[in-house]
Amino acid sequence: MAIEPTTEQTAAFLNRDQDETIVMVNLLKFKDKATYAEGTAEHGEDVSGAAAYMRYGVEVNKILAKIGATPLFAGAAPNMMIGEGDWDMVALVRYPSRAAMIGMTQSAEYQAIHHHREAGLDHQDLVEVTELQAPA
Amino acid sequence: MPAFQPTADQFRAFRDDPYDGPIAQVNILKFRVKTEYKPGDPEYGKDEPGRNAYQRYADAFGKAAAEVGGQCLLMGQTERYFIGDGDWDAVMVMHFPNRKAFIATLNHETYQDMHRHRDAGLLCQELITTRPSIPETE
Repeated sequence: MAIEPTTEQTAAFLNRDQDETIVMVNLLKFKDKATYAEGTAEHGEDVSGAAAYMRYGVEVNKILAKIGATPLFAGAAPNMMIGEGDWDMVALVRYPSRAAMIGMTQSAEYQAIHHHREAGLDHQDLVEVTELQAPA
Repeated sequence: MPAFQPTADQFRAFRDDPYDGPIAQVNILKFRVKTEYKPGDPEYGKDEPGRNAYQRYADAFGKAAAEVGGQCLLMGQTERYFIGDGDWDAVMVMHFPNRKAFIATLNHETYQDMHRHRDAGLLCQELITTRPSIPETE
């Protein structure tokens, strides 16, 4: 279970067409309680992991707007209807290019809000997809 | 454990959930390498990848869903797993005005005809029922 890409996963991403539009499918599992690291302003706060991640979500949406990315959907996941996965939320974001996504994660603005993600997120899957024609 | 259908408990939990607002059904899909149509299906013996058969199902399902206000938010093929170690081929997200609309789509008169394409093309899947948690723009 992971919250960051491996070196190999990042390298594979960087080896692809950097101009292509992609959608990132986030499958998210939160900690019961947020664990802010020592040294962060929120260290010791008694809030849920979901609440800490929402702080990240609010701020990251502002950055997404600046780089031309579109949050397609975010939804709380109360039920697994098929399969045995265990997720709390699903969020879909369309990035205008791979370069835009990597640029965002390396920006100072993003680094400044990332501690909320680390505090709230237990683990996630992140699936990079390219869009086929919609079924209808 | 790879799954293909809801268990009886999973289906009951979905049907009996009192929440009656919009839902998005997040399908995480793994296709067969080759389609497996059954004897008697018009497509029996076709040599093609499972994703082609599933696309036929998705097209028909999307048409039936549209009659009750359903729409496709995303049909995407996996480029890679960027975080985590899952092994899925595609993600399809369908939005419905409420859960009755989803059940109506499963009960649509065309469903019996379309689901052979799902059977032929799909190896296994997960289906996550979600409630939109940000204002909807479409």
